[in-house]
Amino acid sequence: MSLNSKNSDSNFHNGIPHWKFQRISAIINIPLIIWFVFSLITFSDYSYISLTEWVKNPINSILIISMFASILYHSSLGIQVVIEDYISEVKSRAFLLNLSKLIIFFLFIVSFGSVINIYI
Amino acid sequence: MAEFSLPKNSKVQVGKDFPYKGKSENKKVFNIYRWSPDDDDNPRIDTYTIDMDDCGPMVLDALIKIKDEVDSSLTFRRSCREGICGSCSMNVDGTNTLACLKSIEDVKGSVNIYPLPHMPVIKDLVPDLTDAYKQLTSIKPWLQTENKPKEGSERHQSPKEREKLDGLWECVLCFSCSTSCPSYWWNGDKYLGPAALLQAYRWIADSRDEAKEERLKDLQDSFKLYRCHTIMNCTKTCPKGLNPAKAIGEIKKLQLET
Repeated sequence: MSLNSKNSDSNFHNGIPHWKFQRISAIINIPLIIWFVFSLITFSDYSYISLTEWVKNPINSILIISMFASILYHSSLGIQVVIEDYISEVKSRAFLLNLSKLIIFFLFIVSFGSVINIYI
Repeated sequence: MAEFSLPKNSKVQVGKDFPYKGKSENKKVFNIYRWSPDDDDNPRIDTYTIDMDDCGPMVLDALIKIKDEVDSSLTFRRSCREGICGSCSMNVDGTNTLACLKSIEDVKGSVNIYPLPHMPVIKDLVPDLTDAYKQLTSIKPWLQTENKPKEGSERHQSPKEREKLDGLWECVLCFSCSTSCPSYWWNGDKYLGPAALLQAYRWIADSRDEAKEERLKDLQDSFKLYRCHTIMNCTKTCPKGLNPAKAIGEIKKLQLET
């Protein structure tokens, strides 16, 4: 084991913003997920038409998109921690970090697009 | 990648058995990890049975008895035998602790003794703590000041300011906490570990120290401090009952404020 006390590794970054935003997004997730689950449970009619009508309500649309954004952002930060923890080889770590961000971004585009699609 | 299995030459094998030859109603079995750099053998577990009527109450007493009376080749660190020097830290009954503070009576069945986990072994129960000491040095564990106190005067500290160091100064640097931390196992070359971070906070919290901002800045990167995921093994294992996880949390809080 060699001691790596200098920031020679390109994957080192300031840990404070990551730590802070992981907690902030976790707190934002709580009311949004509770609202979403509560809304689904109290739904009287689960037909496609009534569900899309519900999503079409602008407030619901904004909240759903915010929920996906917050969950995916929080997941992205979490996955980053796991990759940094377990992948010590610098190149594969950088590759996996970029790949995970790309997948998360793709998932956001899909969820955002799905909500917008209802309006079209 | 992190290593999840032991390499072939590290697989622990069954070792020698040293039964107690006399008559005793009060016997205890000690299974002890043995490895020597002087041969190519794999590590092994030697089994020693000793008479508890003729042995002190602590695990360290048993180790000293074994070394004195049964097997002089058994190697371990020890010095003060009262929890002050931090030398005899090892893994007893699955938990890192000081052998001198661990009562044999508290262990049900046979007593399993291993060196501190995930550190290179020098011999038997003696781990190589070179890197851990380097990490401790890196946080500059001494008072840093720019201003000189008035001539003939000491650096004053109120009882309230002094209270902030309680739960920090008692650390004996046995590294039981760092070596119980999975984050330290995976990233021990980059993450400073709970022992060094508790020491870092000990100086950050010291009202007489004038390098607080610099100390906080030094710990900002994503590995030195932020590999702590509040697993809490450090606090659970500390033989002195300290709370390194809380000290790490306090450093994070201070970093948010600055």
